[in-house]
Amino acid sequence: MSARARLARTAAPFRAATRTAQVLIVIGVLMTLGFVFVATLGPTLAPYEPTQYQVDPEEPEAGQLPRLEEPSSDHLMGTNRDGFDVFARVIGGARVAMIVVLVSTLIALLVGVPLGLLAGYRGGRLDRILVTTMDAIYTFPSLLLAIVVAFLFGELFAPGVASAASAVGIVYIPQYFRVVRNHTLSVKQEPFVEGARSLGAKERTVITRYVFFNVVQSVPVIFTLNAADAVLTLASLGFLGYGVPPPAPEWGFDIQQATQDITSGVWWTTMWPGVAIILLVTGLTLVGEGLNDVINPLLRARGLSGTKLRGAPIGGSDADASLPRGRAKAADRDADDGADPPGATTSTSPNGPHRADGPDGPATADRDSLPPTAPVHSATAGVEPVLKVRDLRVGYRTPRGPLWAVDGVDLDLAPGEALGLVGESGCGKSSLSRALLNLMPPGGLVTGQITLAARGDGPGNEEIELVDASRRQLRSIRGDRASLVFQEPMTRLDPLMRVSSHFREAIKAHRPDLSNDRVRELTETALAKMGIPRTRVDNYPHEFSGGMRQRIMLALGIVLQPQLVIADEPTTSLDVIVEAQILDILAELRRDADVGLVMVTHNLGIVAETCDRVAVMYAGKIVEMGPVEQVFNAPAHPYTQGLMASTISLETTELHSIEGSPPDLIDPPDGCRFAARCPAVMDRCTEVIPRLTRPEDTAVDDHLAACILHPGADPADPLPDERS
Amino acid sequence: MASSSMRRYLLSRVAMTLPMLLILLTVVFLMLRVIPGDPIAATVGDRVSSEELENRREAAGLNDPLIVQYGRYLLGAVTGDFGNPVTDRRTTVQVIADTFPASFELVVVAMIVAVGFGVTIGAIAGRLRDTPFDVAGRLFGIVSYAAPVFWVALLGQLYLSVRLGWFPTGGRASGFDAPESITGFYVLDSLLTWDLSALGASLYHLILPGFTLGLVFGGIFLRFVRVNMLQTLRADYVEAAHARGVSERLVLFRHAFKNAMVPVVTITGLQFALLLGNSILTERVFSWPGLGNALLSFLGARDYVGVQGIITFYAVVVVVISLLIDVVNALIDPRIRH
Amino acid sequence: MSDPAAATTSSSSVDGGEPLLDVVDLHTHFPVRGGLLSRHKDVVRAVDGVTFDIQPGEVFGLVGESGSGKTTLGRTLLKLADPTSGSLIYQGRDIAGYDEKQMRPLRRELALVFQDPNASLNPAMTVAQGVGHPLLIHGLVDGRAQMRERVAAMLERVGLTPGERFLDIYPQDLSGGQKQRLVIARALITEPKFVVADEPVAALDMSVRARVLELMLELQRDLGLTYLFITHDLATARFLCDRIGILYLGNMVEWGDADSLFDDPQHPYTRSLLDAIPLPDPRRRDRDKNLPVGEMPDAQTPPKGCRFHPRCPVAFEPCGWEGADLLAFFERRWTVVDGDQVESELAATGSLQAADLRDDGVRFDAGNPVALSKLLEQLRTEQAHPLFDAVTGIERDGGGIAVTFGDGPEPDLQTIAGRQVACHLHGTVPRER
Repeated sequence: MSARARLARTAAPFRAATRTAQVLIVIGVLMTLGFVFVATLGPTLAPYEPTQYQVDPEEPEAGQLPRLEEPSSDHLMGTNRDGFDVFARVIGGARVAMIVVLVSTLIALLVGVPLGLLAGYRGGRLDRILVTTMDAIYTFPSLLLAIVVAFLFGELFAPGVASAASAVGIVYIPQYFRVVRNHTLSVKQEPFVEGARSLGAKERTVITRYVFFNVVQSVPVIFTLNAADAVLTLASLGFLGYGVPPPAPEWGFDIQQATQDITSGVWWTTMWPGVAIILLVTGLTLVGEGLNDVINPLLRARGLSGTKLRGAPIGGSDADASLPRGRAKAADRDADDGADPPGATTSTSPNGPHRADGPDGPATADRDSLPPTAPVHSATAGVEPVLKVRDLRVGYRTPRGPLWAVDGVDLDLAPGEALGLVGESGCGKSSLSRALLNLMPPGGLVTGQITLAARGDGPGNEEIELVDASRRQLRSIRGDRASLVFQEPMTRLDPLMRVSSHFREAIKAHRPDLSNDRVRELTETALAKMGIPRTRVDNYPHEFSGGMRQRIMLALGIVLQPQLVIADEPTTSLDVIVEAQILDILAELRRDADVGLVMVTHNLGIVAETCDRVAVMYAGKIVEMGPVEQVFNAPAHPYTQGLMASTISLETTELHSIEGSPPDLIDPPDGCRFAARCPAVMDRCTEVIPRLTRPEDTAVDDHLAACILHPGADPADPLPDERS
Repeated sequence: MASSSMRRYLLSRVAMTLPMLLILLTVVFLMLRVIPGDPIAATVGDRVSSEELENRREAAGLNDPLIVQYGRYLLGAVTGDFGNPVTDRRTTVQVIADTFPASFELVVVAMIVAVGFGVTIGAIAGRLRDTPFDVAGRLFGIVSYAAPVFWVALLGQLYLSVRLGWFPTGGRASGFDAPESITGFYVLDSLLTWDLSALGASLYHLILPGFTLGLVFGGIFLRFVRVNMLQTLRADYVEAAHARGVSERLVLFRHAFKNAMVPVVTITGLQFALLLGNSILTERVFSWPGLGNALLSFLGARDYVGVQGIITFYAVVVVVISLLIDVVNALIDPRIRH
Repeated sequence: MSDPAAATTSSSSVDGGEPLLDVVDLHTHFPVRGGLLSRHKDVVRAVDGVTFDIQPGEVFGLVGESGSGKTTLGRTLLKLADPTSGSLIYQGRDIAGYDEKQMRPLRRELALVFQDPNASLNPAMTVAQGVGHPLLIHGLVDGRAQMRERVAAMLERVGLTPGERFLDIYPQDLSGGQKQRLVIARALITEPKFVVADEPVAALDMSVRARVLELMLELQRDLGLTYLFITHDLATARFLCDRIGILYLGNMVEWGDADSLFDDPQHPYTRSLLDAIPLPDPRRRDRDKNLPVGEMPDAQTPPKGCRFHPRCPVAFEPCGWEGADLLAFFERRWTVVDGDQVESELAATGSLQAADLRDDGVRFDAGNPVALSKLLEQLRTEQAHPLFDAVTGIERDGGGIAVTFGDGPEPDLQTIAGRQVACHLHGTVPRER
């Protein structure tokens, strides 16, 4: 790998960081480098020596420098009571600080890091002893420890840089130990470490090449933050007289000397060394904090970097890219980070994905030929759908450009109907499910129309348009008229709150008029329906298993009798028997004529068991849609056919797969997005985007497929109604 | 509440802290034995006749084998006998009783200041990530910590005491202003005796030192709470609460903030130890008659026994605090209790 | 039935011949640190007495849900976890007690393929370094150049062509399917004999799985490998495996020939697993599924007798009923009867948390003994649940009611329909421990 490529890969997380983090790091680095520069050049910068009595030994008349002189052009920072130039002493202090900090952090590093590695990796008694010792030292007030050690070293050997540096160093050993040990513990659990052992690698190799090389990235952060602390500790030692002794120009010591000057109003002997400390420590801390922002995966910025999204890119020009078709609503600041934008990290070949065309959107070659929305039939003709979605687009902000996870989806859901949204990873189904409630992470954008039908009479029950809705309107819908059940139940309940309190909160948020007794009644009924006994209603979440927590989430989703329940892969993280139990519950929900269900999943079996209709998604679009029996018996789109064929069931006798992988949604290919993998591909497929049309040989009206194999799908063909 | 499991948890925590205490005490014991010769000679060797020296050594039990001295030291640490300093007629315990309340009051005030502004600003900054408020808050936290305690104290003294005369330049309330000494904690004593003027005087003396100490360390709370807020705001249960239509305000306080504060309780204990250590600097600047200053005088006089006694006391205090933190943690986090 | 093309290899496995791996009463227990003061050292019985064998050249499927111990068992077979007791006979030698030094030369013949391709490769090593590492460890190449050659060749074998192009990049730059191929390449580059594949395709999309599985079968054919295929996905197991073992809470409940196991499962748990699989066929959607209740308990406190009995849809008298089952019965009952009845029954039993569980039954201290005794008798008469058949006594005991249960031994493996099955339905055969 070339040096440039290696540099690019190291710099990648930096480029993906938020602007703020980048600025912080840069400023911090500049400040720190400034000090290093000053410290190295030191003497040549100041016109005087820090311990200079005479300007020049050759010219004795110059004599002693004036004492306690205010800052002037001769002495930029004034002179102190011993007649030294303060500026010179500040610069000299930088040097002293640098040396001590370097030596002390080296000591701490060389002891703390290997011990942390060993303790974390080996575990057992060694670990327990080390942890107890290090914890003991860590909890003891570090400054006091440093003072005593400095004092002792001073008595035993001699006060000086070595004593001070050792004292400071020893105090920081536990910090390195803890950080490295914790990181080692987590890396140790990674499968690749166990993989190394299974290969037969020697322990020494495993610790170094597998564990340490991955742990080492946490060291720079702790190094810089420690260095910052070390400067302060040294200064404190100096202030108390246990640091680097005079006549060395140490900042803390100088400030102590300046104490007597305070009462006479002399400020410059105190001020400047202090300012120097502040600047150096701030610089180092900024670097450390910035690095932490960049490296720590928990703090990484998602959706906060890259170009902002502005409506759907229509037409060729960038200038009008801000005028979307349909109404656009900027990301709702209500919700914080949601799902990671899917498809953002898929790479299709070792060459990397093709470059984005421009900052504001994907290639626009065939955007003009976007088909007009084909009429979408509701399952029960004549009945007003409970959910009407038109031209829905969901986009995310990424460092490489906007990613349209859902790119023009229309669908209807009849009351009481169960619709399955099926597709593989990156197809957009999860984004779609969240977009229905406008639960977008920062940097996310929903455009198009989502209409929720009225729920009877009364205030708050009117028909509502969700894309444009105000925050208050959205909040009133969520959990009340429409609920979302998430995938992983283990982390969806607040660990500090009882289950009954979760219900109380959800119910009171929408029906503050209900009495506490009634709230309790609703809670117990909903939970009982899901198989949770009333004796457990007041337990905390961690007292329930995964399957039970998912039942609780379902109960929370139906307690207020919503019109619509959206379930986003609700059983993916559960075992097959528990999954079957939950599916039974969902099947009952389906039989309930009043509740509409949108079931998002990648498992065709689940769709077959729980849904009336199914929509198959691929690369952000719906490629086939219709009644479940019809689509399963006679799939009309090559992707659906491929998906069904590659599903392994108990009756599978032959393995099938689909060649290739899904396209990059930041820069999707022209024409049909499945063309690159389609066994029935034709030239025309890369030229136009097919629209949903009824296959000729299908038995029902509302079976649609977007493939130009079927007449009517090619935008150049006349619309079905126009056919004679 | 499952109190028997709580009891078991507490006992196990105590059992865990005992080794820690033992290690600390051993380290302290050894540290002050590394000097050649013996502690008493090192302190007053050149000022006292050799006969007197021998008597003192015998009295202090320094002629006994090391292991016996160690045992005696450990026993003393848990029974409250921290030795007799060479340069002070009081026992170490008396020194501590005289000076620790002053340090403690100082640290408490500093904690209130630090937690007060650190937690508030940190929580808000976490919510408003990358806005000007957040950046300003972060910078303030960083810069305030970067300023050395003693420097801030000195400048505070210079401008607010000497120049403007708003606060006393140092010392605790004394003489007629001081309350009747019951516990040694002036604020407490004033309240107990309902001596409002003494209360006022005590607080008046506490403000400047407490505030300068607290300001510097508030930055740590600020940054820590901010990071925790950032993390909890991303938590799955927060998203789920939003999906149920819970109001922004409730999600923030009930879910995000409460969960973010759980680890803060842990670092509060560590912070207390940190403040206790750094208060030595504040005490120096403001001539505050606390334990830190006592330690400094013993160090200056090379009174090893005194130094050892005080350090031992610090070790015990720190271990007790860490135990208290474990208890509080168990009370607020149901996952630990069960 | 497995892929016809691969059938040739499977049938070359000699049935009844010398097994490649013979597992005899294997136990792997982990101590749980209950704190310095816990009265008893709690133990997680992840693998609690497992006996089976693996024939050379076959694909043996180990099927179980999470918590069943299948992952631990896989690791124990490779000695990545130390067995607590039992024998592990690999090619005639008992390696259960081998230390790391003795194992190292054997590791060349043993390989492990994981589930999560993202976490299975060292992010700090390039493809060449990571995949080639086993060659260096076992001294199978002279020098870096030869190693790179072998790696490139192996990469092409697993479908990553041209091999050289991949050598110097880092795994993070590849897709999930490609990473999984790397993992396979690394595992097979030393041409091992026995491969443990732990859910190798679970993290991949459906449309990609087949390719990786095809690759694995192809390599098995070419290199004469024996696989232990660990999965929770019965459908994939049916397709791939010659023989299958069903694991539940650390025990093998049924194992034997795959086809007959699927066609005619003998153990109720196997049957439940099969029934539970959602079928991609809408016509079969409303079929009868006799699902077990509840979830798998944790391996620290396994149920008495047959471990599956609290959930088994066809459990009966000898299955090992105990006090905890009676409590669970009430809890479940109170989700289906109406509120007033719940109140009255709860008043009779008192808080369930206060009940005292003992070795032979349970004692209800709180509540109303008279009403409780009446309630219990009533439930017993109306056959509310098979556990009542095992109740030997409902008596006053001090201020409460003690319910005692009869003996319910753990079932041992019996030979039924050519397979090994552990279930009392076929005759009560107690297991010696």
